[in-house]
Amino acid sequence: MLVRVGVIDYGLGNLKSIVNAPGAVGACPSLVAHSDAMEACALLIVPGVGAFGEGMRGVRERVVYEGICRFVERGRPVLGICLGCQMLLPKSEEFGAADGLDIIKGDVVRIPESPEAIPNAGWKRLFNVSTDRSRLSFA
Amino acid sequence: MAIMDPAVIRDAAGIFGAQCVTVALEVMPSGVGTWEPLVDCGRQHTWLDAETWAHLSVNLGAGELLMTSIQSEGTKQDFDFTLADRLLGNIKVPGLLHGSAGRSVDIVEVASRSYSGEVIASILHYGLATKAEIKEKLLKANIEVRT
Repeated sequence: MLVRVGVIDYGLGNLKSIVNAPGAVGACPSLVAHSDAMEACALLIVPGVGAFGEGMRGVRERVVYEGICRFVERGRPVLGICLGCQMLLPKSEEFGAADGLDIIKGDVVRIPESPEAIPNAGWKRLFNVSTDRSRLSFA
Repeated sequence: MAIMDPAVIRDAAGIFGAQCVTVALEVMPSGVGTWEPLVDCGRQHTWLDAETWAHLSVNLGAGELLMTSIQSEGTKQDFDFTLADRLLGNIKVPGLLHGSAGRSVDIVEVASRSYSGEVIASILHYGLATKAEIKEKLLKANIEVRT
């Protein structure tokens, strides 16, 4: 049976590429813009690209806040990508303080100054990548 | 035009994030070691100092700067590194160079310096190098590229 994957639409971000990705690996993706629509999903993806405060405003206005929290409480998996991952934390210091979904502990802080340009706008090699698919309960 | 309404940089970064906001600077020499950013495709003066404007853009929320030397653009005579170092050297966000790449080695040169990227056109439009040749030269210089 196809795994139903809900991609949260909170009014920002690169939704189309994220909706295409689960389809490419054999899942059944759909855009989700209301908490009620999450019930049928086995997995939620909170996509990225955008500023934290604006992203959270979209999460509240589109009535997906409660749904995401309830989804997590039931032990179902949520994948946050980029800003989507940051919003799972309690707060961010991007452009002044803003409150997040408070699902994962920690703060979203600015990357400390380094010789490398920030923000990174290119490709980077990933290190310490796990290939253990058994850690992904839904895979 | 951000230069006529700088608040647009702050507003865009506040919605889409700084990493989504690139400010383009089209600059001309305005004196010894100074440059002026022009607007309207390089036709109108602003009488501003390019270095000051670059810093202001970043302070307002630009996540990336794209620099074009108007005098060098289209000449295929290699990038103006004196200008680039001056404008982008002390900037903490990624800096892109645009205009005047004429040979594959120019592209390797930019990548091996600390610039984040470059924009090329004539070199491909006029068949001076192919994408495959450019990628091969980058790989030989130990610069990672997608193949």
